[in-house]
Amino acid sequence: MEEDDSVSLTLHTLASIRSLIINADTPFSAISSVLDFLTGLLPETTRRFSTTNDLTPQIFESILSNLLRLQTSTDSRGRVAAESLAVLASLSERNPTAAAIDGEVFASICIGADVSSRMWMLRNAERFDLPSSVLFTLFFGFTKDPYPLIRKLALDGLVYVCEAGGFDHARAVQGCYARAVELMGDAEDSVRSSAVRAVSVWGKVLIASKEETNRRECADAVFLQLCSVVRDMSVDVRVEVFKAFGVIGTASESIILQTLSKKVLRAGKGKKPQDRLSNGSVDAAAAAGVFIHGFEDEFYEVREAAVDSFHSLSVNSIEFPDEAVCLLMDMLYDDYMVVRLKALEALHHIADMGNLKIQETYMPAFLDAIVDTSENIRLTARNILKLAKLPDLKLVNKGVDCLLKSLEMYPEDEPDILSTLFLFGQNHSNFVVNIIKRFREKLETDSGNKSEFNSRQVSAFLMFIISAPLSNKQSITSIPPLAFSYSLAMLGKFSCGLHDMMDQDTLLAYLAHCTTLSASSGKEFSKADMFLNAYRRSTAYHSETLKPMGSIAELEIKNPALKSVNHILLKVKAAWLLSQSECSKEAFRALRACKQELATLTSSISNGASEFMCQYVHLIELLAQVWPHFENSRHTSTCRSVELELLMEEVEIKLMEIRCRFTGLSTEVPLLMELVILSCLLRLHKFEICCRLSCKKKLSSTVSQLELHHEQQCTKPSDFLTETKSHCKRLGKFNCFSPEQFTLSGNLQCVSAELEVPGNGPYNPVSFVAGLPVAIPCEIKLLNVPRDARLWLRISRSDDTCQFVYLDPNLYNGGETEKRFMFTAVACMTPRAVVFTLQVSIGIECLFEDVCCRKHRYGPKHPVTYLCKEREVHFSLVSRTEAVL
Amino acid sequence: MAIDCLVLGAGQEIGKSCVVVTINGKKIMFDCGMHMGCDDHNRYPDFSILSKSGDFDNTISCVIITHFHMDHVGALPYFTEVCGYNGPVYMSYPTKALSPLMLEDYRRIMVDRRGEEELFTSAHITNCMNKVIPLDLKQTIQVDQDLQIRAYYAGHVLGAVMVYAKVGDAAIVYTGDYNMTTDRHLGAAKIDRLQLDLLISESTYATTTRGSKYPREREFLQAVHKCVAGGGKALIPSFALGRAQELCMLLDDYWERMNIKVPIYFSSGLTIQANMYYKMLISWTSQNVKEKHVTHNPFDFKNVKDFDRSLIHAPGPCVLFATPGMLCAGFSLEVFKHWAPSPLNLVALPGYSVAGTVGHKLMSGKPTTVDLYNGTKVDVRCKIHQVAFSPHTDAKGIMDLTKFLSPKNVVLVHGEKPSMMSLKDKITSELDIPCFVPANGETVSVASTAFVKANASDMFLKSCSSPNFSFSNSSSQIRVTDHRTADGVLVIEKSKKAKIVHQDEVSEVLHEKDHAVSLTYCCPVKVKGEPDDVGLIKHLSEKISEAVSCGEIHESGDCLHVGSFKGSLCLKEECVHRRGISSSCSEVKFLCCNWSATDLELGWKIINAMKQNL
Repeated sequence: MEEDDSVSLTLHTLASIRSLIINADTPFSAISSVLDFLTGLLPETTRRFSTTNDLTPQIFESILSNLLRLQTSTDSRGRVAAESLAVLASLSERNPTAAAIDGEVFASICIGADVSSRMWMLRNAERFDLPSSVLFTLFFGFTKDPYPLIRKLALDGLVYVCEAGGFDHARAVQGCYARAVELMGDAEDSVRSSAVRAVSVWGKVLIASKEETNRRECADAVFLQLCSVVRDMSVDVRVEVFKAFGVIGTASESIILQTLSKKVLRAGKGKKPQDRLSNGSVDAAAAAGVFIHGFEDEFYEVREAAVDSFHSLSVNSIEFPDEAVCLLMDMLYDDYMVVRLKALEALHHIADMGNLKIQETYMPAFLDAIVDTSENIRLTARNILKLAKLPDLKLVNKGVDCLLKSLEMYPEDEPDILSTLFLFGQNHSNFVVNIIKRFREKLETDSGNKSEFNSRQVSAFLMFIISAPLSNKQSITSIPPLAFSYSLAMLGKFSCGLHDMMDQDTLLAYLAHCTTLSASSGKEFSKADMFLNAYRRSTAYHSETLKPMGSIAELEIKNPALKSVNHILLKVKAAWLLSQSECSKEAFRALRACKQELATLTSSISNGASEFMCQYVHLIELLAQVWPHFENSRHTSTCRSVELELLMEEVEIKLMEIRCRFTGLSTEVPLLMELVILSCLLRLHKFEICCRLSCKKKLSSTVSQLELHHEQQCTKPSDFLTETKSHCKRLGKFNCFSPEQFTLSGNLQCVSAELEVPGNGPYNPVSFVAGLPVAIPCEIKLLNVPRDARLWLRISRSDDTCQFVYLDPNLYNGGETEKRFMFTAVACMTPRAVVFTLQVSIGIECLFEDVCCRKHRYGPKHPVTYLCKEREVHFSLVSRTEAVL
Repeated sequence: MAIDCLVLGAGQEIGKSCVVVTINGKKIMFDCGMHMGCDDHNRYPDFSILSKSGDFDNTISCVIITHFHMDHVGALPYFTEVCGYNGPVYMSYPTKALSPLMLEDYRRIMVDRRGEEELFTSAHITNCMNKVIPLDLKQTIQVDQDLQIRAYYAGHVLGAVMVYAKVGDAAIVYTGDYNMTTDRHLGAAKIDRLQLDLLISESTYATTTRGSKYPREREFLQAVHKCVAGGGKALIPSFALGRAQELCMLLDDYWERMNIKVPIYFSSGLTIQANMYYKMLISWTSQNVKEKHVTHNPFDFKNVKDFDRSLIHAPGPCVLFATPGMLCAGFSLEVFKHWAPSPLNLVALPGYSVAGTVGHKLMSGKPTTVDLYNGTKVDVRCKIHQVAFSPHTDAKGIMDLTKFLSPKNVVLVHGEKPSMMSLKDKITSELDIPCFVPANGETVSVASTAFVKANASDMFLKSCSSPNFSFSNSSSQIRVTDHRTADGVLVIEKSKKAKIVHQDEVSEVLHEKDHAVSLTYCCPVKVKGEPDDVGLIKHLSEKISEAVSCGEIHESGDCLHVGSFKGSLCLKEECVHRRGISSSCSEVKFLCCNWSATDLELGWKIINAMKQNL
């Protein structure tokens, strides 16, 4: 009852409020206080009325009409208008059914309002569902306002409009960018910092809108424009500038080099990228020492932003100079944890790309990081150490010592420290003798003193030692069997540390095997040994791949383009890793950049190689698109799952195409097979039961094929393969896949075909008699078709009925790579129509796809991938006269 | 209106900084320093140029000291006490605290040690300091009715400021010495973007561009570490204030990090006293120090101890900070004498050494023996390490500051002439700002800004309060303009105050009528057997409506209206608007047309349409 009372009371109040608002004679002050009351009351009331009696739309209407009336009156309307708008905004936020506010009304109120109300309106403009054109016009106009706060809000608004997207009139973008550049010279700090942000977001849109050829130039111009304010005296501006570099994310190498040196480099001298976008060009000298200034800034916020943007710049350029690494290393001494962490993260990325050389000078900083009080810093530092290759014994010893110290200080890190030592040991197996010596000393001094800490140290040493044979077979002779048997005792601890590399069984097998090997002083390597099958590859990898490696190096010297191709491959790998770490945007950007680079390369590498690379990059791109579906897997709507299904289909087709269409594949084969395995795993992970069986079949066959391949080539199976194999029975581990770095072999050739029906066209059709077969005269050109290939002509109609015609191998099995011949295909499906068209194309049967998918009685047994575009052939019914003639 | 900048010292040289700027009649003296390299009367600026009579109180409005270095404050006691200046003297709080220490120290060395004639006494220093009014950062001080001054953070040394001075509408900034990159204990210079007529900047390193500071710090630390690890003694001769704290902080951190137990000593009482001031004046230090200060005062050096003379010959490694810098005299030179012969030891020289000092000799080349001032020779077998830890900005910093402030003129002082000249060229060519490098005693005059105050009419104010944008679509981009100020017209009448009125009011204010430009043309029209005027007009209007799409056409009698276009039959034999057409032909009639400039194109279109009829 009580509740009812309050409702009726409020209803009554609301009604009187409404009448107050509607009444034209109510003084402004009264309306103002009513509106105040409403704003305070609204959350409460709307919640209550949402189910029973909804007055909100009516109140909305009345306030709106009052607002429109206010527009026509003259005095002191701004304040009330803004207040009304505030109420309207909160009303429409809570009740989406309420009508929206017209853009024109909003604009006219905004222009008519006094400064403080105008500020409120600009700040809250996003709350009203206004068309972006209205917002843009308003914000763009107010960048000319004499009040700095309004200029700032206008710029912020422009950033919002840009980020909301969908606004890309070329002139508006340019105008907006140019205006923001102008305001970077504003007298007010806050305006400048907002302007910098506006320049970055609009600059990015601007860069994206350019054609490929100008894009680089445009990016440079925007980058330099930002560089010119890097020495601003306001901290906020400087922070924004460095963030903006991260947003732009790319610049020419010469400019990046210039940012690392305060002296104007010769390359940059007098070079002015034409900045037609804004008034006035900026010299490349503006970039001088930008990052030096950033790194030695007084304020840690700036340093942090600088390191961060440095990181994002290094993501997008493979060839990041060594000087950069030195600069970053200096940041490890920073007083602030955030800065150090960011620097370590950037270094980790660089180490991942294989560009990190830790010099002795920086070792102390680095080691400090390993024993840092912050857990994150320790973790990142260890991750770098896992990848590091130190040049001499002294540094290796220092590294080990430091890890031991860290183990002593932070016992909770033990598993990860052990895994670090395991990888560190593999990378430095040639120093193992020395470590063994130290280990012996340790054992001697510790005998009889079995504290927990000492056992920890011992296990750390052991970890280093037992990892050595994995990368250096010979080292096993120098390791005392004692070490392995000791390790067996610590199996549980070790396998806990190495859980992401191998499981306990494998480790056990490995240790047991090593024990016997080292006991027999390493002379008897029995080939049949089960363990060796699993682990010899890693050792063989070095010795036996050395030869092809050498030849690849030679190839690279002969063909510099190949080198850049291999660089691109590296980038693709990086991009894949990015996509894994939920940076799919960056990953796609990187992949797009790869495509662009490939496009520029096509002239200098063989057709086959470039075609292969394009397909490969495309495939990775598809996979990166697929990935997020699996990352957040729980709830997917139907439409997303359909999208996923389509994507997966595309992935599989693409894979098939790559595998079929290239001859001369060698080092690429395992990768491709792994990709097939991955796609199977993904499918099994996500899709309905119906395709499980065939998919499993395919998976197991591919796994065994790949194993066979490794066996034949004496190469090391990737972690991914071993992982998959071990989990084959219980599925679900697909996320340890990473595209292995492979070098493109030089003799790749692309199988392709051209098909032409001479003279045929819409105005010159082939005649047919309905119901009778018709002959299609085809002129076919084949390139690089392998001997054992089975080619089919596919003739299809738009309604999806199709017919396959087998191409007699005798027609094309000559010695030459290129073959031209005429072939007459007979199409059986002539409909009862006056005119119709058929699509003809040439396909190659994928023999390795042993999953039978035969749909037609007469046709290929395996899936077919197509070698050329579909050619449309036009037919028309034989007219009577013609028939008679 | 003009700004005159008279350079009394530090013109094309380093030492005795003193610049007197006259802004709109007000004379301000920036810095009052002494030259450390001169022993004669040249050590002080030539104040007699200012006033022959010595009546400085009426000539000079105020004296502003930027920081406590002797070449910026050294002549102040002389100027106030000996020359008799009694006007206001401004300096920052730390400068006020530390200047007397510096002056007293200098006086003691000059008088007590070298036995020179006393130029000012301790009492002079005390009296002089009593006249000083302290300044805080960004505090605006109204010196008198017209003159405003404001101090900005300059880095360089504790309490160093840049000074902004404004008289009327003319404004200048005098930078003093400043640093554009941060130190460990001091921040970088910070200043607002101001509207300046003149920037007077130091230019000590006018051609140097320094790289990152981190490698320099690292080299220094490694050199010292190597020395003490080898059992040697490291001597760091430095002045008591500034670099000593900077390096000490660096070493203290490093000691802490590397867990080194070797003692670090401070030699002089002055440094200890100075450290105390540093601890109090935390608000003038860098962000880093300020934030650390919450938990631990970074000037409480953990590893630093006082030095005792007996420790000179004590065995074992140590690090010693000894005054004065440059090894020019005093204790540092004495220690040097003892330590230089051992190859284990190290002398680290931070910063600049004046020619003629032992420090300078050590830096230029690798001498095996060095003559001390009194004629004794010392074998130098120790290692020498030069550290470029300058608290002055480099050339890029000067350029960056100038670019940021974008003043109308630049004057360079406090530098060496050749490098100043090259910097001058750079400023002129790259930033397109006139730049001057006056020598001592020279005056540079530049024009100053003067604003005219004007009343604004109500209508103009009203139009100003609401925005009036227009967007124009130029070749490749949209531009926006706000017309609210463009609508104003400045009216200056004789003997009346200037006034801004809205453009619609102009005619009223000037008591003039509005004028409108209109075009007139007497157009020939062919008549084809239709003598009827009304018929002709009708015929024409049809023609016009065919050719011209816009506007409604009104006909009335022998007249025709389209917008502002008005045509009526001309009956005159000789119409003035009829040009180049003979009226002889009988089949031709004339239509006298008149239209306003706004319908310029429309008018000509109609004329053309009618002419085609001819």
